[in-house]
Amino acid sequence: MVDVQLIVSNLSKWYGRKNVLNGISFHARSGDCVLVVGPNGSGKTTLVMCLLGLVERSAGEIKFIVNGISYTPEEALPFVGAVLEACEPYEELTAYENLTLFASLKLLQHRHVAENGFTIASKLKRGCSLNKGSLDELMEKFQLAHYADQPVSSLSSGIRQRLKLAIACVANPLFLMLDEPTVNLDSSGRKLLACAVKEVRGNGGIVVWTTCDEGEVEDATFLINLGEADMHLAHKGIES
Amino acid sequence: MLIKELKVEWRTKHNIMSGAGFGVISFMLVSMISVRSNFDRMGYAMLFWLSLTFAALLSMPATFAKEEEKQTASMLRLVASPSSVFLAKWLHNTIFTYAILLLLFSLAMVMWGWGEGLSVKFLLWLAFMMMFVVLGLTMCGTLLSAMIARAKARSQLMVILAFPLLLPLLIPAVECTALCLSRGVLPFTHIFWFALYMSIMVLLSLTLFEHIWR
Repeated sequence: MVDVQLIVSNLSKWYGRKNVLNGISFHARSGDCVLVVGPNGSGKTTLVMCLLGLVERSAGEIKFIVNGISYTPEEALPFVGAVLEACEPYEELTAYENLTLFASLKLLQHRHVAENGFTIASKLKRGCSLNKGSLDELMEKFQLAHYADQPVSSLSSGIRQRLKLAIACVANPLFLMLDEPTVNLDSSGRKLLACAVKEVRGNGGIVVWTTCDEGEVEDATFLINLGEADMHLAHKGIES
Repeated sequence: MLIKELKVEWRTKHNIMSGAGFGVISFMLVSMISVRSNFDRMGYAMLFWLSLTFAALLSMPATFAKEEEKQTASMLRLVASPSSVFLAKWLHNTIFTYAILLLLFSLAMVMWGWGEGLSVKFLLWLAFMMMFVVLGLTMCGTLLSAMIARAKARSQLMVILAFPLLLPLLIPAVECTALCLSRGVLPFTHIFWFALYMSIMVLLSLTLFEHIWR
């Protein structure tokens, strides 16, 4: 089993005088699911963007640890898959072309990590393979095969969301960041999402899931409530 | 990534319509006016480079701006290194600008009589020099496109920022074009200058692009 940890200490983010995140801290381990809840504008997306290094944090520390090696958010990207509202596939390409593009880029990212001496990816035999069979399998898994040759611009928002999820899972991520992933998903889409999350956690990965609705995830290990005045971190069931 | 760029371009025809369209229209307009005026080789060379530069600058900002508008930029930031993004965008812009160059040069051969009586040696010199200048032009344009992708007044900014940066490249390019057409030998200082300009742009791109992109 891979030893994976995500350590966030006193993470804060200010936009000018507005304090969006105030000293968030948690320590997640292999198989954990961190549920981040809060109303609109409470900073859920900002938290995920900070974890991914897409938004610069104002204070605090973020460490991604894989088998004892510590990575910054930028260095950890090869191990990360993400479904974000602000991340869209290319509308002009088909669903399959998008998947192929992002799979090949992810593969390059893994090679780059290996070339830099971080051989962890190859040791773990993670990373994606680019053969048609595995991509077809992924399309089937997320029930996208029927839409493979359609341009993304012609797909419904629910199918697009499934495609984003497939892209996030293309390299068997160790860290899966989901920013309100159930938006536009129907019941079968939600089941696919639950399966993907279960698989990542089962493989020893960590899932960070943001939502407005606390009841969306029943087996989360951690709960971070950004909507409360005094934000707290708790093991669900013990304190929340 | 380059294949993606070319596929998207082929399907949207954005650059083809805006850049090449502008290039051809401005070239034809200039040609019609020049019938009544008595332009020398330097004048034609200047008009040629003006048409090419503005056609290229019109389409280049879209390469990054579209990524930001359609929210595909964040997706790319997660999976691609800044250097590979820059390389793909630069190559795409270069291929496109070469296509406009070829188109405008063909028009110049037909309408302005460029190449008439010009030996293969001078034609090769001309082609070499033009290709070299285009590399610098697209390198500078790609970097500026990335810088202004998040600004509001994109097209205006592009021209304002590009003008002082491209002037040191375009003035010798015009002189060299006129010289080649007059069967003159290209001065070494100009070739050296193009190489120096290109090196500075490569250095700037390597140091600045990662900060701009992130």
